[in-house]
Amino acid sequence: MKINKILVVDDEETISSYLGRKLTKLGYEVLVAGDGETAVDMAFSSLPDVVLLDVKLPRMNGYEVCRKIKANENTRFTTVIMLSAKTQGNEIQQGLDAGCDLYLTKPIGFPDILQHLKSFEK
Amino acid sequence: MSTKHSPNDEDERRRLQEYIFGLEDANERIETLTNEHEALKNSLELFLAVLGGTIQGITLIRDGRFLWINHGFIDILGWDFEQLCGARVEKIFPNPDEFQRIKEQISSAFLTDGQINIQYNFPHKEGHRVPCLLTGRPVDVNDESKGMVFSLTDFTEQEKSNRELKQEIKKRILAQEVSVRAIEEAERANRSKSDFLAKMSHELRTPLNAIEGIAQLIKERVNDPQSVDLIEHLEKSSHHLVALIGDILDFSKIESGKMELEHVRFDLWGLFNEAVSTLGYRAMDRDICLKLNLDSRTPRYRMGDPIRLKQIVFNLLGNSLKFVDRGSVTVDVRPLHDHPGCADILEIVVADTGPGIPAQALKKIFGKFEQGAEGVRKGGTGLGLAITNELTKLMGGNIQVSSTVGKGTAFTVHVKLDEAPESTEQKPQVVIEPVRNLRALIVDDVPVNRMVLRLLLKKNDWDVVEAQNGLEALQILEKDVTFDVILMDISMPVMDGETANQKIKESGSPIKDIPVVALTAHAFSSDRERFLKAGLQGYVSKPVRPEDLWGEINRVLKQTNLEPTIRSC
Repeated sequence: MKINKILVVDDEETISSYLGRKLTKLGYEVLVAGDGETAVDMAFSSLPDVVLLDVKLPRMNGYEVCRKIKANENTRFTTVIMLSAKTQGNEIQQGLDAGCDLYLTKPIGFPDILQHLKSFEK
Repeated sequence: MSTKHSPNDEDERRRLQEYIFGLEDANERIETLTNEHEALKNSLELFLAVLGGTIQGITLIRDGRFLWINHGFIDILGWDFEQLCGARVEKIFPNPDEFQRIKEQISSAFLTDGQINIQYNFPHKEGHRVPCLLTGRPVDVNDESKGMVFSLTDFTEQEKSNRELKQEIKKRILAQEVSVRAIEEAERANRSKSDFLAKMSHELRTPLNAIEGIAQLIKERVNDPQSVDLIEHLEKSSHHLVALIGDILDFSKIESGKMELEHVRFDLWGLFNEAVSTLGYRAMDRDICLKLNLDSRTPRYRMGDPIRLKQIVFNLLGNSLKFVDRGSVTVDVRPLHDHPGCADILEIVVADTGPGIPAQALKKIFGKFEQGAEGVRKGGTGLGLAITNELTKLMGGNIQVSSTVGKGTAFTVHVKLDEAPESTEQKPQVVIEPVRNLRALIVDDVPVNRMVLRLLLKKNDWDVVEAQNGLEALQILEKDVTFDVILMDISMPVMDGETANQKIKESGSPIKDIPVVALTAHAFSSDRERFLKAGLQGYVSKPVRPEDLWGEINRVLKQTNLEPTIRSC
């Protein structure tokens, strides 16, 4: 799979803007959303290849966003990488149940995130 | 515990995430800055290498202090980097007044011209002065506080090469003077060569005059055929010598550019007829057929120098006759007026059936003293063809030669002869006869010359009185004024002929009307003009030929309206 477009979803602006800047510098087209509802809307309208998704979000949490993306005909094959500070086993299980392709736990360095992204490109 | 700690743990993780990303971001910025710093350092090094390596001195001056100087500046004025950087500018000047002066000079230059371009002998740290060109400009025209950049160019080398250049010029001027002197020397040498030739010809002609005259007189007195033969040989040799002297003189005149051609009306037909008939005896002697083919379209009269044209024809004819043993020599003359651009050109072809000339010799044939072995054997000056060549050139023409060994040689001459105006009177042919029964005063320092003249005149019933020099002649003329003509040598001791003539012409007595004929071995035609201008009525060159003498006496007597009685011989 070739990754062109990435949707970054996080309510912490420092995080979303840093990720956005780094990914843009690497040549990806980056979209940013600060809450769950916006994230779903943007995923449906822009059809990104990958969604980097935080779990704790206003208006709609990450599990719900992931479920909606995976339930939609147009976005069911979009890669969803969950990025969360929630590290309990049941919390991770919730994410996997929601259909995410990868569950990463915070804190994580950008090089690691990039390595996982690249693994999807192979 | 896990549920209790979970939110704290979660928050901790969120904070940590932000912290990590912040660190990453900071690291990245540091990396970027480090790169930028490296790049800046590199360009600064490059910049310093260029400025530092420049031979010219460069300095940045701000607030009256040296902010920076390059190696060039250090090399030119001798101060160290540490000694000057940060120091006040006046430090390099031995006294403050000088610094003020140069400062004012710089300010005024900047104010009037908008630029600084000053030549000044800057003080070196060691005390001596260094000739420099100072140029400068502000770092920012709108902000004086940013200082000024000056550049200092050392002139020492240029001044040195200027000095060397001046010395070189001096040397060349000297060399030029030397060559000018050499040229003058050569010109003087040439003049003296010319003088030498004139003197030599004079010296040679004088004894030749005697030899020819005496030979003639002896020939009339002897009947013995063997003696006559010997005398004729003597005459021939003497004629040859006269010809040789004439040729050498002609050539030296041509070489020195003194040869001047006459421009008179003359009889072209007569000239060729005369030339061919004069040399006819040489053809008849050896059974050679000498022919003149004069094209009927050849104009009879033309303008030019008949004597020199005759010389050309004589030289070529003489040359052919010298080498041909049997067969023919022909002279073809035709005008080229049918050819475009050749209206006044006359073509003369002298062709013979002689031995011909090898190609090698043909190339050099018009050089001076170029004679083949045959030419040496047959006699000749070796100058004839060289003179002929030069004369044709002077006549606006040229000469060409073609030859086949064993078949013969043909010389083709083209000369330019201007159209002659219609003659108003037909001159009757003058037959020169001896003038008889008159009275002459002969003035000559050489006894044998006097004798020859005396015998010639006496034979024709003249009464003759002799004087050895001009002064003696004047003494005689004081008592005796009844001479029909005075025959006056020019070069004489005590008083020369020109001075004597002048005294005769200036005297109030009747002797001033007696015509004076110069007899001289001065052979240049310019001499003739000089003598005639000096008031001498006539001129006969030595050796004196009787017909020349009679002709000249006849002429001067007619001029002075004392018609002599001419009796037939």
